[in-house]
Amino acid sequence: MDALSRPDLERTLMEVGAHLADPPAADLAVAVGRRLEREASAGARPGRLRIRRPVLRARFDWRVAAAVAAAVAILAAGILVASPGVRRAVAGWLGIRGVRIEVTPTPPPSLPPSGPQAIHLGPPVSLAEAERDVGFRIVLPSTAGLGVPDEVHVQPLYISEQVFLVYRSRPGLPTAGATGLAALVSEFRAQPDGAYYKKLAAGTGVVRFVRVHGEPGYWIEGGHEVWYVDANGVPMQDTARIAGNVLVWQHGDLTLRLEGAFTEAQGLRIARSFG
Amino acid sequence: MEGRPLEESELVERARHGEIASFEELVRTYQSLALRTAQVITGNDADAQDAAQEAFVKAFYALGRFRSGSAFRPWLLRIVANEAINRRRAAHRKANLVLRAAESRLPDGAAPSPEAAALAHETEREVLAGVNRLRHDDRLVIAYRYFLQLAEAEMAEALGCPKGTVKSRLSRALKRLEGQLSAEPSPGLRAEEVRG
Repeated sequence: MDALSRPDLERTLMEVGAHLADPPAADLAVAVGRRLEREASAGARPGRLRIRRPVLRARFDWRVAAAVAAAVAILAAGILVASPGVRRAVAGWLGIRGVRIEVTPTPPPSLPPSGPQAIHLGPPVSLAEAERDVGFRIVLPSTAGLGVPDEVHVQPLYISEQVFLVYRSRPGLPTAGATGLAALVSEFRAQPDGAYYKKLAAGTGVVRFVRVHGEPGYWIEGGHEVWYVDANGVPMQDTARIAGNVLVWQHGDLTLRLEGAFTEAQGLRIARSFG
Repeated sequence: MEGRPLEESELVERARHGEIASFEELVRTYQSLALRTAQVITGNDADAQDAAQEAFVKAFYALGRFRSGSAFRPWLLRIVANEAINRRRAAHRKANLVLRAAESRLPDGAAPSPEAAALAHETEREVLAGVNRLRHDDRLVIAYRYFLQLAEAEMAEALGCPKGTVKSRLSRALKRLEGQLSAEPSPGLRAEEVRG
């Protein structure tokens, strides 16, 4: 095909839009309505947000505040195991800025098959491009052979302006599953009213409260499901990206997340090397 | 939607308080837009339908945190796109967006010659084949702009990125599309591109 000029390409794209085959006609309203009725009469949505009706902000905030207060007592013990007893005691959210953790009675859905294709992070960009896109200085680890990442991605669809640093397999660190990755780091700026949710399955996960240079964080081991809630309050579901262990912690006004097959001690050592 | 903002905000308000019938109205208004958006990402109708339906259910439960007075459409599209991406990730499917068959189109007012119409159709077909080969995030930004014709501010909300980033993402996507179009099309795609 002869190359189209940019205006011709844009014009053609408009035409394509006008001529696209329609998705098959479906009345989703009936299906959605039925499902909502069913779930409303059955009580909480199993394995989903445990909210029976849309919960208005004021009530939601009260709930979080209560849960955080309850969580303080548990965090004082330093360790939280996702057992039924603890679940009853927490009954909701544990939170640090930009991060909330929910212990749920249902296991997360099975993860998509791991492999290089299982991770969709968008097109790679340079560190400089990524910094321009995210609008903050990206911090890098300086230990365990990690430093300048093998790949940098900006993923705008979940939390706005989140950067991912990809570290491929290297000596000194275990490789996570079939992904060929030693570590996956994500960094974002936590919004005051935004949140980053991580959901755990009872019995399969361990959550430990940790400190990284005096700032709060969590070490999370085992199966988990991730929810982001963006600044508009939209819950966004995401599965763990490389199905490994996760360390998530505060670093100034950034929230950092480190994922891989390493141990807690290794994870903490890496976390403390960020600067 | 345009022309009936009061009605929509009232429906949203009622749905927020748990009125399912009001939410069904909103679903009816936006289902074709939601299906199209999901289809652009998943590339196939079955996944698109599942994603759109699940997204509406999630949107209902998220309504409590929807800001009164802000635009419902981009807020919803964001949930739809996220749901579609999750499905696509699990299924690893390639996009297969297709044009309606040329014969089924209404003749344009200007009535070009059959040859000119055939040539235009061929160009559109090749451009769409290029779009199908793009990554889903590039496809989405192109679809929002050219297929669904969202304004820039609405795109920014639907994509969850700053307004300034919309321009750069769109221009990067177009550049990659141009790259696709200058490369040889893969022969396997040809037979599937046109559907009645």
